[in-house]
Amino acid sequence: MSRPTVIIWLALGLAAGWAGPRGQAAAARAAGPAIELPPMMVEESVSSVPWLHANVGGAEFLSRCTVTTTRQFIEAWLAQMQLVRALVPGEFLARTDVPEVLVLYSQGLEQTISADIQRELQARDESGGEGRRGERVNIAPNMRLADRDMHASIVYIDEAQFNAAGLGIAPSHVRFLLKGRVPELPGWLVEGIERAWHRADLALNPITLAPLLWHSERESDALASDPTHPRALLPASELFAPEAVRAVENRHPRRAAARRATQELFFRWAIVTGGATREALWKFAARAAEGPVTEEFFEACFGFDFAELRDRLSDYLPKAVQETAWISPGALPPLPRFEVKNATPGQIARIRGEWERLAVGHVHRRLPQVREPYIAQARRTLRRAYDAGDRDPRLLATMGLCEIDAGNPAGAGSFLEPAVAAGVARPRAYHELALLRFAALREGAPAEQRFSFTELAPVFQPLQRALGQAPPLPEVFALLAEAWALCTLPPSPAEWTELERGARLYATRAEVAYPIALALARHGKKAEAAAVLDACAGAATDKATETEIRALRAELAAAQ
Amino acid sequence: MRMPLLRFLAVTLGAAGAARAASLEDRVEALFRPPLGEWIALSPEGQRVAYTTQAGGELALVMMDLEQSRRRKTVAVAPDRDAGPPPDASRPPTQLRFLRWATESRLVYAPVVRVVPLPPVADASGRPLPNPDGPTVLSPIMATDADGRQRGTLVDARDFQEVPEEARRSLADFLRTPTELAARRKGEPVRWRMPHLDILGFFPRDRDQLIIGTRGAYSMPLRHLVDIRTGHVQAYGEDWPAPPGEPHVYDWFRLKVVGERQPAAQPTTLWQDEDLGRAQRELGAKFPRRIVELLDWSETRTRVLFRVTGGSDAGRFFVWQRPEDVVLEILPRAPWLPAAKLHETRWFEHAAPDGARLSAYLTWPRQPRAGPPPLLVVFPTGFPGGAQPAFDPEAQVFADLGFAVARLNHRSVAGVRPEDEAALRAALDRVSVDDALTTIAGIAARDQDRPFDRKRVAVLGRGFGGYLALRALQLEPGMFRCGIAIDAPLEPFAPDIARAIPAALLEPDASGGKKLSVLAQAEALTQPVLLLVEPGRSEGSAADMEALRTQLQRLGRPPEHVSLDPGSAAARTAARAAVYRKMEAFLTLHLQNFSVTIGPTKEVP
Repeated sequence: MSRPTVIIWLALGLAAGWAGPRGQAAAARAAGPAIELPPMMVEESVSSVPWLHANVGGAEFLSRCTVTTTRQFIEAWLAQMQLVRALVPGEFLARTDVPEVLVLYSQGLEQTISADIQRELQARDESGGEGRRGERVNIAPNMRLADRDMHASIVYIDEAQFNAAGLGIAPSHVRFLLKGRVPELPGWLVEGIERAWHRADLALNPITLAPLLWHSERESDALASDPTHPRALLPASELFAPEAVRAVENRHPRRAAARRATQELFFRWAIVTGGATREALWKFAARAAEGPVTEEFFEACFGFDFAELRDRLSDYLPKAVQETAWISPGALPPLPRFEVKNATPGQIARIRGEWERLAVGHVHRRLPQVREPYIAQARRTLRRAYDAGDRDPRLLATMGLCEIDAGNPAGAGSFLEPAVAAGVARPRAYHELALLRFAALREGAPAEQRFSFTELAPVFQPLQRALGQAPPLPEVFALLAEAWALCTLPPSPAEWTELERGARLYATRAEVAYPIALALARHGKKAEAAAVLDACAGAATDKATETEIRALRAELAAAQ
Repeated sequence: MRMPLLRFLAVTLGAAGAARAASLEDRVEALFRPPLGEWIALSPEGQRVAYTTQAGGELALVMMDLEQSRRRKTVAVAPDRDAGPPPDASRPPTQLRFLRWATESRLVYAPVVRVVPLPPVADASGRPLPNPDGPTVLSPIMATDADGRQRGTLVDARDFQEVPEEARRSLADFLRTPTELAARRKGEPVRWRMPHLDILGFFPRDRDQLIIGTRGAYSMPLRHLVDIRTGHVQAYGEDWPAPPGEPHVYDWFRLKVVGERQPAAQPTTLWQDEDLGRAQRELGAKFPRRIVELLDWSETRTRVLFRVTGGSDAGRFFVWQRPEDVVLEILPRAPWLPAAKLHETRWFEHAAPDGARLSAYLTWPRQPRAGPPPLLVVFPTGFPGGAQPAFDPEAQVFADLGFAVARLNHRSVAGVRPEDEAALRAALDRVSVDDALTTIAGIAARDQDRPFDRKRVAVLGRGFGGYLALRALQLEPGMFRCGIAIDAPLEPFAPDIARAIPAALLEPDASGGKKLSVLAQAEALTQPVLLLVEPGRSEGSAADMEALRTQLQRLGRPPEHVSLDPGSAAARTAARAAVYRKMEAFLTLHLQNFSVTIGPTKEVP
């Protein structure tokens, strides 16, 4: 089978895929949009190429490339992540206690789809029914799939052309890392960094930022030749507007373009200016992640006000479109030592099974009619290790989550209970188990029924343990607050602190803020409840939560 | 006693001065270079803007397309039918009195009128008499296409030259132009006058027709329509009011006053038009702590041209594209002065003990010399005077030299408060000096982590501000170490002061005004002063300052004195830089002398 030459970008899903060469791509464009399905790995029985395993830098690698390629890839990945942190301090990137998974697959190997999936796809094509008209199905050669507490990537590598020095972290992956940060970073920062990343070359030392592209080559050239060429920058008060304000701002394409361009320019300016300005950026960004920022705070960080920032950015722009900027990453620590070993059957099954489990959610969203074969394959893979006697808590947690994702919560408990009991690093597993216990407790009870602390303790315990792991999931805080709202006993000061942390980390998430406010209100902390609701005022939410918030506000107002 | 120090400083300054001379001149040239866009106009659909610039000492117009290419086209403002005498080479460049787009592609502009009297004539006995003809009025109204083509004078005053009614003796005479009439009356003089041309606006249903008015010749004021494509003139019988000038803001599309510029410490417009008021508020929110001035707008007001000043920047022009809510920066007023290279300037406002609002701009040196910088307090030029401008080149020069500069506004800048009248009438100088002290204390209290050197505070002022600077030295010698007065009248009832100050505030008291006089209290002027006089600017002030100089010499405290180059030469970069060097030398000498005890100087025989 012929495949296109794959330019590897770490953890980046590339569009060129199963369907192959350019001619097919052109045909694909003519035929309409393609649905990309996660690649499936061949059964062990089909191929004799060994799986390799390495665990380093907060990631687990499962590779079916050669040892040399695998090692080079991992070293490049580690080096690139160091450079990412040189540009964006680690505290602004997603942090997770669950290792990231990277599956490396050699393009020289055959890639197959399970017979079940092939049958489903064929049936879909023949019926032409359920799929949207004109959609094709491709198997993506590279893809990143994420759950709420971890993510995994699969990378197909053409080993004949593989050059580790050419690897880079894709802007979309940087965005993913930024978006996963808690408290959530403001949109202007995430989008600014992502756009600036398109101009960054981290393969070079020092890090190289190509000249800024201001809207188009033509506009950039005009600015380069005439520094007074007209330009539209967003005023700083709008650039740093809270998400709630951004959600309702003018959506005109020219304004949206001005926003994108200004965000990129601001980040670039702050990074390239370096020194105190770069420090000011991160100080300002950290505060912006916790709530709306004021001009006074900006001035305290940067030493000048909003209007002057706009002026400085405008003055920097003609230079930015011409300059290639070099940023020294500073002294980087040596790469951690690691070993590439043959993978055990348990490692293969667990990591592959994790990937296949993650694929279920992706397929469910894009092509639900082939979801069942994906579930079946994930179960099959995971079961293989389990049946062989493997009781690794990570395997058990994945099996439990697989059952949850498959819509079989009843079958999840038997895996989640021992995984949680063993202290697995998997926040979602704790949440799902607490959810199962909470549902069981409330089954058949009136909606407003309150429970004793003893009755709710099995719910609280896993949630409180989940809060000690990264990332702190919003749904953990929400469920914890929901349970406290129904508890006859008020939380202790330490337990209130847990809820306050949730309110601070997810201040603008109504689905978290509402249950916390409800818990506060139910235990007599009306003013605090109102403050939590005020903090998320204007944030986007669904109708049901909006109705609940309105009712709670009325209740609080009536109590005054 | 001071001579060794003086020599030491002179040597030091001489060496440093030689090294910095060129850079100071460059800096002065850049800071005082005429800014772009002293006149600026937006086209009726908001797609084009035209603004003035000075290129090589000549006024030019730049036209820019904001929507497509955003290219600029520059054309010189040079009246092509200027029959008058050539302009004096030393005169400042031509200025405009009118600039507006008639249509989307045709711009109308008019240089400032020049009135050139004719030479006197001699009577029979040879005595000179005023010329009964003329004067020659040079009042061209010009137009150009947006691409710079089809450019030229549409009409000029001489096109409307008139002769007295009695000079037309027949029906045929009424059909002859004055020139034809004069040619026909060989040897017999025909009197003539040129009218002034007033530009009144564009004809609403046909903006290719410019409405002008003529006045000042023999006939009654008349209205005419001028075709802006051809220059063809036709009489317009309707009355058409002249648009009101400042402080009114006139909407040239809706033909009505829509706002009024208010006297205030910072430029403010009171909008009578709700939509423009809303635009002002929204733009104010986009540029907090800045002065936003709406200058022009498109016919539908979907495009609004405005200027932003304040902060450290020299100012910029923007067009607000309202449906898109995009603010397009079209022009910095001084692109050669990037904000990052200017010293930070902040607006400062606080309350005096009696509740009056005091305000100032504080410019802070980016690189102060060792230790807290000295403070230079600049009094406003008039009373109450115009508000201090947000950007002041001179403050930047002094900040370059390491000074923090506080430019004060009078408490009465927005108008005299009734409750201030008694105090001002009693001691106008005392009120201003007390306000200066309050402001200095306020600045010190506000920025405690960025102190200035309170032992090194100097004063500076021009005109009435120079008078106040000297009074400050007399009244508060313990606070102010030295001062610079430029063209300052020194007697309270001198014409230069009396003209500026409301009569009600300047009543002679029992002392006959001596309490307010710098000259009458010359012995109280114990701190060093530098007197700068521009010959010819104000004879009264020059005489006052010469008298002060004489008195101080007599008292054994001869002031430093500099006679500036007269007239426009003072505006030349080299001359200007030389003056600042002298000021720097003076301030450095008298502020850096650590051994001097703060307080009145004691004379030692």
